Amino acid sequence: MKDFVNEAPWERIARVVLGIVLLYLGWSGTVTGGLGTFLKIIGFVPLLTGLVGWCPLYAIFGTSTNRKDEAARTT
Amino acid sequence: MKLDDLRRPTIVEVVTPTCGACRAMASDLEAVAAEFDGRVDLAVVDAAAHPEVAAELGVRGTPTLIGVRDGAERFRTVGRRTRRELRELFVALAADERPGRVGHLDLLLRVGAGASLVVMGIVLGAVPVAVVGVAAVVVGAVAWWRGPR
Repeated sequence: MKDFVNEAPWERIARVVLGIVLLYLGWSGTVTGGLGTFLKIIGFVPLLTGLVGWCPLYAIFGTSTNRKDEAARTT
Repeated sequence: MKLDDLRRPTIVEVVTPTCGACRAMASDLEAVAAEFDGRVDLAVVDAAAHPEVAAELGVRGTPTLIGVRDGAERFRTVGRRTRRELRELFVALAADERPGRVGHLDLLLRVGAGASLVVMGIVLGAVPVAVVGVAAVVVGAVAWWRGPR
């Protein structure tokens, strides 16, 4: 699925934390209704992309926040 | 050839003339080496012409790729690799990382986040969350246990 990690370490941590927070808000009932259901699902997106380290949107647009990989490619 | 003489990042490829996998991988390796020209060097050793060098390097099969940096072996692979896998080796050597091994960040994220999700899933009664958490822990633990390819 992925060729390389295109997210910087700080971004991966942020995505995982955001995903956990969104999932908690949805699944705990803190946010109810349609928004709560939305959070239950959408929370998995930043969580999984952070765990894997690969963002499909970054791949589509050919960008990356992973400076270490860019350094290996360009220096 | 002595590995400790290689101070620059270098991929040492050990081949033999009759090795089909070596010939099949040659064009991909050449293309990837060209991408990393100036950053990672490629040294090719013909084990048939220089068996003593191959023996000194501990090579038991071809193609063998040895990643060397600062005179020390960083990784070793045996067998044909795809172009994508070859790029990962070159990227890892250039970035002074070991390829194919789960880093500390990956372990922290997968096992730590996975455990948090499992606990959260159990406490909240959210089965999908707990399932994803278990999967993350298992994937992280297996990748760490497998180590470098």
